[in-house]
Amino acid sequence: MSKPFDYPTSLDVKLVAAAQQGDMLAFEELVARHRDKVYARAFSMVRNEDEAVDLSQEAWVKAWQRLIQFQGQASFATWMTRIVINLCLDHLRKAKRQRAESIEQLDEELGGVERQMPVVNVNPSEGLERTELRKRIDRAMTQLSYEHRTVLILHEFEEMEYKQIAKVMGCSIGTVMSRLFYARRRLAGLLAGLKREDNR
Amino acid sequence: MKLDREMKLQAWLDGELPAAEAREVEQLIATDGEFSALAGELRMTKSILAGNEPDEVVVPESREFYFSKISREIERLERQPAPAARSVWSSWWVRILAPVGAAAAMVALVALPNRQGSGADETENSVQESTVIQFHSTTEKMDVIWIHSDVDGTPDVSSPDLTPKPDRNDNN
Repeated sequence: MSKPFDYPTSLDVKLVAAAQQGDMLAFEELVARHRDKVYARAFSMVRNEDEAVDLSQEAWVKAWQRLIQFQGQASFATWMTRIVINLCLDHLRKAKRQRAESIEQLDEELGGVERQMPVVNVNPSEGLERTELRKRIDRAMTQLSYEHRTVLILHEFEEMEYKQIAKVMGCSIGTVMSRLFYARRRLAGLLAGLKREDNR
Repeated sequence: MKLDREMKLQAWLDGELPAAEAREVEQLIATDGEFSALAGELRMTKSILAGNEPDEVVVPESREFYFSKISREIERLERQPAPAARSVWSSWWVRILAPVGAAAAMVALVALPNRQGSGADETENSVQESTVIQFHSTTEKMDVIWIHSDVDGTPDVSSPDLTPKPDRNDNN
């Protein structure tokens, strides 16, 4: 008699194989394991709780439909993250199309403000606990445009190369580079601003 | 020009600049104070972000509730027939227009004045995915109307061939 499937203790790879055969309980276990990470990535991009929940759930539905395509080149968590990133990008593009393009937005895209910004030469993370630093990074990221935030997330947190980012964002490598440059400059300015507020 | 240098500086910091151009950037950092300060800022921002992604976010729903919505959606999608397999008759407008078109063709045939001088003739009307073939023979005092549908786009092989070729030749 074969041993019953112990879902909570099984490795992802085993659960994926079972889910590929239609085992919904195995899939449920995968969702339970990775749902926070997938949701967190969605939230980091769209900055809205309800939208992030919906997008993360949509990602899981898509994953179930495409599970057979998962060959295990990357980890299951990475594969899931890519799915949710693509969904968030589609969502953000649609939302942007619905918004009227303003001169300020265009200016931000082209680094209008950042071009004039003085170079930050104090370390805004100095003397901060890790938790506090993360909170500040989060606050600063919220103030970036979605293009700047996304490019930072993909490069710094997902560790994607320029070429990969250009592919998922549907733009040129040059655009990725300029967005990343201005995003970093703006983030440095925002973090320095938070530090100055502290010192007052 | 300045922007080009800035992009090269960033690519150098990210390890995406070819070795030949990297030397050019290193030279600039060593000689240009402003450029060197910018390199410092970019390097610092990069290192602050490394390993410090905000990670306190968790799904604001219970495991069961969150998964119930996913499984419901999966079930709903799996109940739907695949788009390619859907019959054209499932479209409401086809269901309405096809019989209406066929009826209109019949009415038109009946309403037509008696055609004189022709032995027989045949017309063919395609109404959406259905085809109406009318055959009129004055000599035989006969009208035949054949309606068939090409639902799946393939010819209906079971339909008899009603094309009255000999009659048509007689009229010529």
